[in-house]
Amino acid sequence: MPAHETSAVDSATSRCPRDRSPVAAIEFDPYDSDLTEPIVWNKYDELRSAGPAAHSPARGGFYLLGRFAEVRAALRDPESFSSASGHRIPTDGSQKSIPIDFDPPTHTDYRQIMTHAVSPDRVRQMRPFVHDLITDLVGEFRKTGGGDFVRAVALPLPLQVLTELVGFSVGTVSRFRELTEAMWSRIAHVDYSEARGQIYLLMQAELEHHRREPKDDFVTWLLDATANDREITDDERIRILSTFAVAGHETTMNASSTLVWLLVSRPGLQDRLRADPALAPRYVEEMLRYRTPAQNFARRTTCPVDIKGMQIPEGEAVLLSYAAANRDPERFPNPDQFDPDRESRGHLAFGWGIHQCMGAALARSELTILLETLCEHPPLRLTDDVRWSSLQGGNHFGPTQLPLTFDE
Amino acid sequence: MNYHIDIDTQACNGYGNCVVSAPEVFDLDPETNIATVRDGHPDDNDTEALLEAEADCPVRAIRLSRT
Repeated sequence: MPAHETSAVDSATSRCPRDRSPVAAIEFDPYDSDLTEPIVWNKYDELRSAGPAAHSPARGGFYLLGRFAEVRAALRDPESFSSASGHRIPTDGSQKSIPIDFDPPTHTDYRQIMTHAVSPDRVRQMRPFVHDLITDLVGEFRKTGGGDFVRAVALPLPLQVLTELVGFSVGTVSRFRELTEAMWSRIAHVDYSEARGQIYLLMQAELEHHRREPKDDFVTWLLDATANDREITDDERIRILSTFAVAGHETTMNASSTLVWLLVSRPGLQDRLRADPALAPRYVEEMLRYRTPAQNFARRTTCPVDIKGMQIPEGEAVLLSYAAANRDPERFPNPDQFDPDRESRGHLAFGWGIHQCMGAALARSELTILLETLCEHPPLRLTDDVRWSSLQGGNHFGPTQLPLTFDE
Repeated sequence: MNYHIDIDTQACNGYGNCVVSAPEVFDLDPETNIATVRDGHPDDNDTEALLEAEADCPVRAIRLSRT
């Protein structure tokens, strides 16, 4: 254990030194390019085995939680585990994404504004659009004899949903995919301000465009939106739109590709789904548990916290690993088995509590429709090796290339 | 102990956490994706599960009052 950490733990537990348990050290750098398939899962096993909490010396030092009960308890306690310093390591307060890098009451106001775009009503209205879009994307993919599923289907799907859901132009969404990739490639050096700056400019242009030509969409609605009766600023509007742009596509892209990879890497699973497409929601839910696409989110402690006898001092960064928690055998027996028959609900793939993913219902709907649509075509099979990302932004994980063809 | 359960259907965003915490009591309407209280949910509610459902709602759409 590093010396600086020992002293920090000592001072926080001086009131009850006899109850102190040492926090295990673990080598864990969320931006390490080695953290990919399959090593990343071993790392999460190591994290859970290390104890209720662990500490990594990487990136200035931070704590980690990887067991289900402890991660969920932290998510249920936003007062002790603040989001205001950022959701990525290092939690240096520079991130300020809306709403994820804010605490109540500001967070609550932002969230109310953003929920407008993804309310249950809105998700229901979106269903025919999503259905037609997926029918077209998959139909086109088949017509061309298959290819890379990531580029042909998994990426355009959420990008086009965003044009309809938020009102972004087609040009804007294709540009922010490029910028997102540029951002992740620099984030390992914690220098992504340039790409983020460009996303900012792109969103600013959307606002101005909608101001000149109002439409019946979320961007136009946002121009008059208020946060608890206060008119919001353009800076806030741009940050809100940036969240939809980045969080709204990376996650769904990875989730779609991962689901389809499961089908083609385990033909029995594909056969079973094709025989009974009503199982689609179960496949979706179990995939979210088993291969959680958004894996790690940070908080900062606002007071000394006790994790099963281990103390984390005030003001420390804590990385909550949803992906590790979702494979905790205490919560999900045989966690490394993909089992659509298990009770997967209650997993933490969308987080839990006040910061829980606002797009969860939309994502579930998109993924279910995707599986149902694929069942209307011949079976899929892999034609070459799948390639996996490392943790993009320390968080997002999925296939970067999934070469497929239809068996016809 | 018995509770009266109020769901603020304007606030509910269909997260479904209540269904995970208290599956005997809550359900999501398959059409609207908004939380509902199951018909004839047991009078002798599992208090712990109910309180958990209330606490776990991301938007505080569930209000319990003692009857």
